[in-house]
Amino acid sequence: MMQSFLFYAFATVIVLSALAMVMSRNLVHSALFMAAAFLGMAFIYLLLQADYVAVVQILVYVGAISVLFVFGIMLTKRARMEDTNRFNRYGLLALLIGLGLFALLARAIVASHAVAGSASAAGAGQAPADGSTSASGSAASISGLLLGDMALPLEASGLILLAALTGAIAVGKGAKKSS
Amino acid sequence: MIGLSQYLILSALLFCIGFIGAVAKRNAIAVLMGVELMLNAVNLNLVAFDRFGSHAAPLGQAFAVFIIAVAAAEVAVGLAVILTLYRRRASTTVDDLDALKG
Repeated sequence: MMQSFLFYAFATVIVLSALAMVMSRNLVHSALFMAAAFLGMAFIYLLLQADYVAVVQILVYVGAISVLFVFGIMLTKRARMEDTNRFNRYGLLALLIGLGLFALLARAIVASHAVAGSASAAGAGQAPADGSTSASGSAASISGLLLGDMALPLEASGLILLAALTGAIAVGKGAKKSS
Repeated sequence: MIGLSQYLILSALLFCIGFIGAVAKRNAIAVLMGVELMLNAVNLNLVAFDRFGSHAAPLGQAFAVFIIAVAAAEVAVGLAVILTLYRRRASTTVDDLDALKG
């Protein structure tokens, strides 16, 4: 009961922040609402017993990506911020397509037997699952997976981060010297 | 009782909101924000399936961590591109970036 109350509370906060992020006409407000939505997502991850992902979410999304967005907004400065985040001329069309996509996805999720079956199975197996999830959700088991079976993808993602770092510096400082 | 379908509905809702933000905004930074929201929705899907699935190893959480790393790289490169465009054209409006238009 407590869990469902927390879920709906955080889901409301997340959806309202996401809507405010899209609807806000001030880009700085949009960035703040985006950070709020990311923070709410971290709590949803905690409800899903994925504590490591929740901490990484707070560190990377709330701590790094939101600050990066704010820096990007500040560096592309304008005279006034009020009208910096307008919709383009496809706003109504995008709204219709988005609503249709959500209706389609929700219909598929509600009608799916696999989703219903797995939910009931998890509900039935909750008691043994709860005993083991304290280990399976923790950083110990996920680090064992990342440094064991997924060592190669982990190194590849490190390479991607390095390439993105050098690429961002090379693109951001301007290519005047090389030409 | 909160089951898998509630998490999936929340994820679908976030994905659609992010889609609207990514498609219908004028500012390139706002478009990137919408893309980030969509990536977050996918992460929520992965973690929810991991929680309600039957695997012992937390594969879905590992996937989510990889997606977070790639999203961080994407934001860094995307913002660098936007800064360079702003320096050259003094604008971050997506509609102005039509240099490849025939």
